[in-house]
Amino acid sequence: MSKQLAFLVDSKKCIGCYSCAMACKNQYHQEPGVKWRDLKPLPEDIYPHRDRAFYSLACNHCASPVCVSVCPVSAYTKRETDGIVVHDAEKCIYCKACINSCSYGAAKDNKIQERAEKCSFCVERVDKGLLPACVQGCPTKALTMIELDKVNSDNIEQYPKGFEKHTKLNPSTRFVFSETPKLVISDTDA
Amino acid sequence: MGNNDIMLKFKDFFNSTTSKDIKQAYYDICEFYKIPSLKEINWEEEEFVFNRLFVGPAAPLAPMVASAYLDPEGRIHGVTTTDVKTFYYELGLTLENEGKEPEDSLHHELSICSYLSQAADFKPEYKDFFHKFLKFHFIIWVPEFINKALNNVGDSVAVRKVLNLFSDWVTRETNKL
Amino acid sequence: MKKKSSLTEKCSLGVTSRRSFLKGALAAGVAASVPVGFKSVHAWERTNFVGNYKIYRNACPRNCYDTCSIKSYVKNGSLEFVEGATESSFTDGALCVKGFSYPRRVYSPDRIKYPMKQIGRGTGNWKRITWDEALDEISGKIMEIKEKDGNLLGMALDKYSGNFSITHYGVEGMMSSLGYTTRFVGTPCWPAGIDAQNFDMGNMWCNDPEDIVKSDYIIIWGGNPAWNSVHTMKFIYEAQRRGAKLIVIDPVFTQTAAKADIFIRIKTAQDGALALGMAKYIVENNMHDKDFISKHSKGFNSYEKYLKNNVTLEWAAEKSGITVDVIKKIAREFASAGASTIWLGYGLQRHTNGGVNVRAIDSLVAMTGNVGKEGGGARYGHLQTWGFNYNAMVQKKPEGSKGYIGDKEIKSEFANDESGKADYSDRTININKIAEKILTTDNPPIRLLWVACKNPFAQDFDRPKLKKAFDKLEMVVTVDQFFNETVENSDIVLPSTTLFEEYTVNASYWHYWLSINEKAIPEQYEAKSDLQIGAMLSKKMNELEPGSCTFPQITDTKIWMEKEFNEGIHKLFGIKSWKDLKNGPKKAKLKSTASWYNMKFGTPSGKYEFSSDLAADYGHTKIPEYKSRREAYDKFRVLTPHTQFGLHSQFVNIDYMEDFNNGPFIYINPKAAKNKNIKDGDTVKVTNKVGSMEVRARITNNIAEDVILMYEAWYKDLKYNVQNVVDDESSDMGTFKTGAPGVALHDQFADIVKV
Repeated sequence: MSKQLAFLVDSKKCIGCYSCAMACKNQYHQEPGVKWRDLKPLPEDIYPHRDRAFYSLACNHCASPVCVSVCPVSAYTKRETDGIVVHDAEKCIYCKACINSCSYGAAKDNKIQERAEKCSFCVERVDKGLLPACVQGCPTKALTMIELDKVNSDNIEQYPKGFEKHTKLNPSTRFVFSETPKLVISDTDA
Repeated sequence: MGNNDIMLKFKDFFNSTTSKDIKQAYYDICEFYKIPSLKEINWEEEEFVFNRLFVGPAAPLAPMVASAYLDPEGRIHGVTTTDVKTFYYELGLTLENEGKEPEDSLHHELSICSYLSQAADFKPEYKDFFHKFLKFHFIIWVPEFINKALNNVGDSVAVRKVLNLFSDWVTRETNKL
Repeated sequence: MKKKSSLTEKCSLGVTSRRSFLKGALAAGVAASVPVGFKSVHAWERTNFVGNYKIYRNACPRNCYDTCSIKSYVKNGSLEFVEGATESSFTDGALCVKGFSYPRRVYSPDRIKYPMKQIGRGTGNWKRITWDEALDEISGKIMEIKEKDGNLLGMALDKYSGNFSITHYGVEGMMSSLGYTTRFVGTPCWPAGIDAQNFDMGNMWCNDPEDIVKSDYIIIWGGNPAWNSVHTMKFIYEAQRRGAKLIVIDPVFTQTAAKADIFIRIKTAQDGALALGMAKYIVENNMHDKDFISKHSKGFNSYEKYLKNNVTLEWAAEKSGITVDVIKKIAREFASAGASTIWLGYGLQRHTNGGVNVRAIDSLVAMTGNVGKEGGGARYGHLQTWGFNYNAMVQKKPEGSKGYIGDKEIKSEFANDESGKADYSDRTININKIAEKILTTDNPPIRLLWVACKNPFAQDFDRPKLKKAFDKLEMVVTVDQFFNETVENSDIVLPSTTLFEEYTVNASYWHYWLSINEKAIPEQYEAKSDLQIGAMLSKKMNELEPGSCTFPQITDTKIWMEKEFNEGIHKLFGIKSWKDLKNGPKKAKLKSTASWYNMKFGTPSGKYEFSSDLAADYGHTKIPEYKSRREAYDKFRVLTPHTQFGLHSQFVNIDYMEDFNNGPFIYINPKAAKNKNIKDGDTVKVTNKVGSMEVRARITNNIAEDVILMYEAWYKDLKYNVQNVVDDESSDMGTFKTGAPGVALHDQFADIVKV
């Protein structure tokens, strides 16, 4: 199996601080409203406390990326060396095929520049031996970079609750689900 | 006074710090175009309007910098500033206080317009540079800037007049391209 | 659609590459003169234009435990992006959502660029003035006050934590250099807890937070590091990985609570009762550390007696809302673990009984022998690494300055009295009662207010009263970066620099690292650092009246920074000079990661004082006896803690931040919402005796059914301001160490109604 770099999203460690999302903006200066990485809060039926558990999501650098197959100008390529799906925004003709096809919404609609764009795993940084900006920017190491074939932990899942299952795409992102504390609740504050 | 000079007069207007500057520029510009300048003007009010539109301390309603209109994130010292900075470099020029103010500030751009227009008298290729600066940059943002300013100019008479004259100048330059 | 300018080719990352169309432009030679403000570029500069980054070292000067070491990447005079420094094991390469928005903040088109004067306060009519004109007016006012009152007590300073870099104490220095003035003293932040820790141990001194990995039992009490000290979380996780248990005690199910083994939702401000209950259990079951108590403490007998006669577990359960079984469980586990520690948050002590509650919690750590233990300790904060020269702060009063005498306000006959040699001082008033004090202070009244590193309209309590207070002031000068409500209500605004535009040095009140802050980019437009402003004001004052201001006329912030270093700092950090910090932050050489490792307490007895006479001197009980919390004056308790998206009124106004934080909410429990017929997103009006405000509702069970919560923040274009429903009730402690009591911020109450 060839090397596949991937994001490991440890929702147990994640404190929903948005550092990863802002680190990406700090690096690439996308215009207001365009976010390549964002936090998805888990709804109360999955995590019983509102606004307290998150999945940090950008692009899943899928094994079978639909963006690569639908792009008419080959603006997307999946690198053989490490499986990163790189997007070349300059090639984009704004046909919106990728925006409409990606089930994970990784291809973002940049209405201002009139083009699609997405996370490319910080390829220029990775090629220089650096970590992606979001991974480096995570203060709790909840978001890390892994090599998929080197992962063998029991608590790591591909499709945790709250993350859509699209087996055809075979997303490379992996997750650790969050935990809840034991609760000792006073009745009223008064 | 030729075309180069009126560009510098507009530059002086947008670079005004006090009502005295605004007044002087207004009269100079009116004189250049040989149009009657209004006598009964409340210069203090004009100054307040000028600051509200272009300076601060609240967020300017019509910021005098190309980035606000062209930069994808409206950030100064972003791609638009770099773009203009590179253009200046290629001309062999840089700001004396690099990093303090963005290169794509209106008054700097008007300086460059005047410079290129003057140089064109000696070197014909500078006419091309001037036209390129206008066509691929200046006229892409300045009309929107003028519009924004005019929409918020309120009861001003002098600032309004200058903006209209400036708009006319931009139109004439655009037609020459 | 946004238009595109295309003067040069761009690659997808926005980095320009060279164009060929202008090749040879300079070689052609142009007879036209270089335009004003420009200069010719040398050939080598042009080829280097598409070059590498220059890396600078900066340190976040905000009021935050983490005080991150920053690496700034600058290209051709522009700050392009920032990273956390990897040399610091605390920062460890990451910043936070606020830190990463710095490039956006520095270059925000909203930043104040020039000194400006408002013609008619609050009119919105501003004139641009030169620095010279601004300082002319200010110095003129200062002279006028001295003339009128015979002293400068009519000039007051409101400053706090907007910028905590060491050299910014130069603002206080500037005030001193002008004469005896009125100072708002105290702190809205942590004074009650500071006093408490000082009564108990003689100083506020916490362990190295990185040693939390050695803890076996961690209680986070009334604090939320998952939002407010994100870098400490990794050490807590490591402790948990090694088998430690994490207990979070808070009236709110915070983000930190979600990471705990047990979350205890206590009745707000009943922390003292819970701690006393735990203490009772520990003593009754002989789980206290008799060795520590006999060797290193004073007054345990009277404490023990108090517990015996006044505390039962049933009482503690009733008061705190926690069952007897749970109280027993955590007390037992805390006392029997190897190294147990409690992190006392700042929200914990913002109550009328906040200080004494901290003392009760401290006693748990002490009586179980966890003070002075690595991985243990009662963690609150420290100032161990702040031993700088404070060169900028310590300035002499000008010759002949008259000031405040004694406890009574200055009498007019003293002002005329040339004969006696009175002991003058600044006039000090409580920073937590700014509105009240501006209104009532007299002989002389406050005429000129200087605001720096603070935004009273967003920060200070009882906003309606503050508005009235400002109306009384003759002149308000505010130094700031953005047009916030305080600037709106000022006469003169002076544009201030960001951390990237000056030299300074920063330490943390939590970790033990030191960072240099280099000037990475030039001052934007006409912005100036607080120190440069002081220097320029000094020059102006001395032109008017020689000797009227002693502030050194140094405008090079690098010199100010250099003057702060001394042998003590060099030795503590193992450096020869500040230059050693250019390669990255350095950590203090600690003899132990534990505070109080040598058991030499700073109390009068030199021991841990369960019973403190000093506390009694300040009007408190000697031992941490139970003190009732403030009685509710309305239906719901109002909590206004900090948002993760900003630091008070900084950052939330940046539009990048709006991408992730799209507006304020009031958080309401589902039961309360149902009773009031309020649904998610409905507009709710909050009203109490102070004022009222409207905000959208968000339903959550993270709070009790009789609690409502709003995060304190300033949103650029919204009228949202929680201070409309917060009064200025004082906390119990704070006067001893900080000059004034703190504020009972979380003892506020209100009612709500659907709009």
